[in-house]
Amino acid sequence: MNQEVELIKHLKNPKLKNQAFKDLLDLYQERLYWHIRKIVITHDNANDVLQETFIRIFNGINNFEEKSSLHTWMYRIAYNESIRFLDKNKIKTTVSIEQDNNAYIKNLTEDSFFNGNELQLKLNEAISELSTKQKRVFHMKYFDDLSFHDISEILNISENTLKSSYYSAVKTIEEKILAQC
Amino acid sequence: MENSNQYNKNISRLHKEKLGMEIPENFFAKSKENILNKVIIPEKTKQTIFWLRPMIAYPMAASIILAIALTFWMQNNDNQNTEQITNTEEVKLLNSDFNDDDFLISSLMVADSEMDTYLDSYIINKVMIEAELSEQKLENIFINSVLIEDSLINNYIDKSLIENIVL
Repeated sequence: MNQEVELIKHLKNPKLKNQAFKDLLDLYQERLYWHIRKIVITHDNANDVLQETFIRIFNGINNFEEKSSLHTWMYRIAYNESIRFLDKNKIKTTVSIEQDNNAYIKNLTEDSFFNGNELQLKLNEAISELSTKQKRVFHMKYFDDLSFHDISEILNISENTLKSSYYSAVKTIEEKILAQC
Repeated sequence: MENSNQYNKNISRLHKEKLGMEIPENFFAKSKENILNKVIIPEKTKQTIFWLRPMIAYPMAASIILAIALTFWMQNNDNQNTEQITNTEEVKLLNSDFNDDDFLISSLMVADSEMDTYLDSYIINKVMIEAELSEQKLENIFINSVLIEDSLINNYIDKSLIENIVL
């Protein structure tokens, strides 16, 4: 936490901003990439959204009011950018890959950077069948290793609701995978 | 930072192992470079070319101004020298011993561009000197005529005037 406070101070100092931003990239680029990748599915799309996210972070750091922690603020930007990307894509394809299971799996398997085996594909299919809210919560908790408190700040949903959604999602996934085995 | 690196590696491994998602080699290093190029461009444009930096540019500008000023000064100096030569020659022209041969020799020292001015001043001075000498001679004729007898005065004046005017 102290490291984050120091980083925010440097990011808001014009003289130290560039170096602090490099440090920020080292710390969070990889985490935010995977957070974005699970929402937009393909690597190329994730790369585009990741760049947009960090440009927004760089330009908006002076407006960061420090009401939340720096990393939840960045995750929220990454999440919003991903949703914005999906909305733009939805205009072109008329359906969002977040809501359409077939589109989700199609996008995943057609991506040249997907190299999943049968079990991995089954897990992806089980996740794709979750509701949008359950899917988001499961991704953030299981894969991004965020706390319920952080997820609550990012999605603006109460922690209890999140916990309920997460455990429900885990149960559903387990049942689906076991049923296919 | 080490904890953070380990945390990132764990997350990447989890995504690869559980979801089968891969990334290109050195992706994060290249992505970091791309992002930095996009956001830190304004700073790069501020970085001026080496020879345009203030510590180089200001002395360079001062040198250029000095060179231009020296060029103008030297040109003006040359003009003054030419004028000085002309003036010197004009002074010489006023001297009665200054004959046509001297004029030809001194004209060799005058620049082509100044030749017309030089020639004009020579002619003007020559005419003025001649006119002054003629005036003095006429005065002498009248003074001498006072000393000559009345019966001879007409012949003297006629003779002197003819000599002065014709010659």
